[in-house]
Amino acid sequence: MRGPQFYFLPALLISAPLLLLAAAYLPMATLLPPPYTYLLKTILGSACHQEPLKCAGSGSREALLCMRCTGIYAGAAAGAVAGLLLRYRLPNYVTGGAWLLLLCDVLCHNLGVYNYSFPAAFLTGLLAGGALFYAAVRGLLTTIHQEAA
Amino acid sequence: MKKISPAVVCGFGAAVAAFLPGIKNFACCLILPAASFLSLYLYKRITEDRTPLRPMMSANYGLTVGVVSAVFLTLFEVILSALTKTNDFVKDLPQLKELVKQTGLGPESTAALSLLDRISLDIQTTGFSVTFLIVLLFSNLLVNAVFGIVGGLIGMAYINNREQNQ
Repeated sequence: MRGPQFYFLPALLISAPLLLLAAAYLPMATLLPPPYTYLLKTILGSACHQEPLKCAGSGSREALLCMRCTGIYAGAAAGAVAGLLLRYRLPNYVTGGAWLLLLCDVLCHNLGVYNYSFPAAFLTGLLAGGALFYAAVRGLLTTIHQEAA
Repeated sequence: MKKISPAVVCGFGAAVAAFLPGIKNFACCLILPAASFLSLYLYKRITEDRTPLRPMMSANYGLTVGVVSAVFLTLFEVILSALTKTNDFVKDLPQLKELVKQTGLGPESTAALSLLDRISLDIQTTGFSVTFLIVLLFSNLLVNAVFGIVGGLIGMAYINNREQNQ
């Protein structure tokens, strides 16, 4: 019999990044009164550094997540959905490689090798978040199936 | 107690790390999932349990790490505010007011701003505000609990995968 964990835990892995993205881009989609934007900014402050130069938009219509975190959470949601639908088992080195790529991008930007690039930050984040959450959902489903068997 | 202690210790460690300037911005995406992962790893080492980690147990473990870290993080923030009579909120308030002036929003915003002003005044005079404590605790509990659970599930997937391969 499939217990609540079969539905709840994968749903959490999909909905958590999606909710975070929705909250972060709410001020861009609609003009929220600043105090509410501030409250959202405080809540999301622990999820991202929110440096204005690295966030899309500006002023009261600024996104509350930087472009890299946007990529990570978008990738996380997509990876979690893919993990539910596909059965391919991702080797650990792929996930490690994706995070290494992200780290390289952060280091190159911080060391001044090249300027901060929105597409590079988004893409490396997307790969890293996607690989991690794909592996997590696959691992979770494998354990649930093994328990049920 | 032996079973829960890794989660409490790692939760406390995560709160300390998330409080340090410079690395506090990585609290959710790195520190909390890493703390949940570490707590599961320590649990396996302490109990010498050879069976695969169970999903609900891992999620509960991550939740415990998240809740413990949220409580300690809020406590540290409140103590620091009480000692210095200022914090990030007080420092950011003038910027927020400027933004309200620029956007020229209606009376609702003015009412909300007067509440924020009162919180700021409380912190500057007594070093403590109940409203600020509630908002901070709620915000920390919400975000840390979710990231703790996510970290626990990722940790479970990795640890079980590694043990299967051995």
